[in-house]
Amino acid sequence: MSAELAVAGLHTGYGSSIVLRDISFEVPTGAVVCVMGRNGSGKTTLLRALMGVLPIQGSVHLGDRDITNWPGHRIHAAGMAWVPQEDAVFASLTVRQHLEIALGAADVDEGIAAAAGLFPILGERLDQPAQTLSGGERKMLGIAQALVVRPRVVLMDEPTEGVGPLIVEQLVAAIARIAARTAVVLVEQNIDTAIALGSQAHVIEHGSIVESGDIGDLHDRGILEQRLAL
Amino acid sequence: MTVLAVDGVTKSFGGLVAVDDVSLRLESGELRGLIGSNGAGKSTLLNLIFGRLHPDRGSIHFGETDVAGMPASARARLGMGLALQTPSVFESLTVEENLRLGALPKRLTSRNGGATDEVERVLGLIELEPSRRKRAGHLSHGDQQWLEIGMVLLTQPRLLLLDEPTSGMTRPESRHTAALLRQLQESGAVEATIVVEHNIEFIELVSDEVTVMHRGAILADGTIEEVQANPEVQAAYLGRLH
Amino acid sequence: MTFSAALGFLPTDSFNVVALIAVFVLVAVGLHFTFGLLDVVNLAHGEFLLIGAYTTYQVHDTTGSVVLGMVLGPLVAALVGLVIERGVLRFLYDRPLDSLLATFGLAVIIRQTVQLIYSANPRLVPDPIGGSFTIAGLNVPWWRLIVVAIAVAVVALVATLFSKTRFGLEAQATVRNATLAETSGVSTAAVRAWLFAIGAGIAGLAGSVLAPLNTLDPQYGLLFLVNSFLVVILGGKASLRGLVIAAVVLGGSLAILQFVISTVIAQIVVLVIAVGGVRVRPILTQLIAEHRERRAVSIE
Repeated sequence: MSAELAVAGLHTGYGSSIVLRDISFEVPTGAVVCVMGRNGSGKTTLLRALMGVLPIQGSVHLGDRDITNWPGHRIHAAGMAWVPQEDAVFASLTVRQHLEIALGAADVDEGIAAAAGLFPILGERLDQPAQTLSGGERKMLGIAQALVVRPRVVLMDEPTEGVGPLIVEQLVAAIARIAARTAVVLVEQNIDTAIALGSQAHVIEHGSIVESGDIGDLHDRGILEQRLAL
Repeated sequence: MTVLAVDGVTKSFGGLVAVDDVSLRLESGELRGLIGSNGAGKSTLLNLIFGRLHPDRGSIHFGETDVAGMPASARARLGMGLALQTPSVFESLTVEENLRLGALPKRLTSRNGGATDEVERVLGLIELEPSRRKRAGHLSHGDQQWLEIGMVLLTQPRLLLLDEPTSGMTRPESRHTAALLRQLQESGAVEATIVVEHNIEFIELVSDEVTVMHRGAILADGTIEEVQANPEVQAAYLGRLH
Repeated sequence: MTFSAALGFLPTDSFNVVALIAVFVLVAVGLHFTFGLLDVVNLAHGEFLLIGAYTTYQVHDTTGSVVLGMVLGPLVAALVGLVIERGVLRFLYDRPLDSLLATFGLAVIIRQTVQLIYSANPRLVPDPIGGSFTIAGLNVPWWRLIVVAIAVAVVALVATLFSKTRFGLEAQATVRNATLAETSGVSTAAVRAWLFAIGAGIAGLAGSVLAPLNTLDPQYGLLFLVNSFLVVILGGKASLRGLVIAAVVLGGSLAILQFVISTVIAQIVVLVIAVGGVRVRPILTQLIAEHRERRAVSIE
């Protein structure tokens, strides 16, 4: 069976500056692939490029389908969802409305039940606008909204950043459950979290992948610390 | 010497009590960590200290001076520096230009003779030499935060206030930031520091004492070990792994 | 020729206040879509009213039915709006100055085209009902009552569109955060095209139903352009409720001021009120919010 997500020779940038060069990797079914790298290495840009927010050269395949340069909503319909690092929710829309937007024509009640199953607190806050939720709850909403459509692949950009340790625990537990049935591409700065969740890692430096492999192995050999240091 | 004395400060926004009767003392040489869940009031407290917000009740003394009613610009001139969570650098200017702007207020009263030397020193300190001619808007989030810290440093603050300086940084980068803050404190470049953070490892490295806020009030106070062992703090914020 | 003089509002009728407010609402709602929501400084807005009015004229001229003209007017305007959005404006959403220039140029083209076809001679669209009735001492022309009813209906329908329909939800998402909306499954390109077309169509409706109250010439659209922008801006671009309130303030002021000063000066005063209102509005919103919270706290 082909990989859930296959990226080959991806180049992208803003205007005349190339941010990512020749990025190639695959995400097998059931895998959590961690994308790591220092500040400014291009991790967020990579996820934006995969979701069609930026024009790219190269190719991106979701299963057997070539989704290169498809508009975002078609990529979403094909089965890839995204949890951005910033601006991941609509401040004035309610939890329920967030789920309705993502679900489209699909069964809303079932989707709401699934979201509440993942994060019970969301089930209690269905008709509250996102801006009245706490920071941690907003993170949960962003994740729930992406997953409510049961995507094949979910891209998560630093889901545990900016919240306290208690919330981090809850989020990591949720992501571990998610990973059982959805392939995950996880941008994560925290090495412990990455190792706890991930099977593979790719380290990006100056826009190119410089290290790849089993994440435990890379950590044991000290490569992660070395590459992520200043 | 007491650098900062916050007494019974309360701030409400409509029906929401964001900061509830908070008192805090910061001595010279102290590096204080301020932790707590989102919405606990940490950022609001920093803004009250710096003067971007004014309390409904209570007083704030900076050294001997009662800063009540003083706008942030006046407090900055007295020696307070605030590095925000969302960096407020000038995006269309280069890194170097941003720093030179940061050095402006002190240029006339600079003790070290050229402001240019200061800019170079800080540029090295925040490790942005290779990006000196890059537009600040093109920097990554973490680099912008370092630039923000650099600009604040150029005002030669006595009291340094930082709001989540390591968000978006890798562990080695966070450790570097922690080392930088400790160095500033120990060399006497800065008299006292308060840093708001979620990154517990960073807090462990950087702070002497830690204050925990929850729902606008102070929940606990002490060394990081004491605070980590506190069951109330665990339930509210830390969980049991720390 | 000023706005309300053109519409033949005489100072003696106090129903005019309500009617003029309705006119302000009607001409502004279309701009709420194209400018308020889509952020295009749509200088062609007046020309969508023009298209609606002249379509009504032509249909009446050809078939004898004004009402049919008022049905087709909005449709033609919507179609032209759709073509403009897909053909030109969709490339310019992140370039506000360029879109301003583009709509300005398109406005000139549309006006000149109308003039080429119909010449500058004034045209008339007859009042489909005619006459008036008297109630409580007020003289109420039938057609102006219909205009008020249409304005109310349009606001109600638009509000329902945004709050109760799937399209309305997708539109709210697109307007607030287009990237997040797109990657959450919303075709933002389609949403924007529809929003612009609907805005143009509502402007066409306004132009059509107001045509019997006026003589038509190619400058017709320009009569409404400034006041439309004043209402949308004063109302807070993205707020329909704000639009209605702004229409009440500005339209009401104009209607009342006409009793005491000349229409020209009244229009200038309305402009001053609009500018002052924009300055004052954030303070008012803050005061209202604080008052609400104080009341909520004291009730507990």
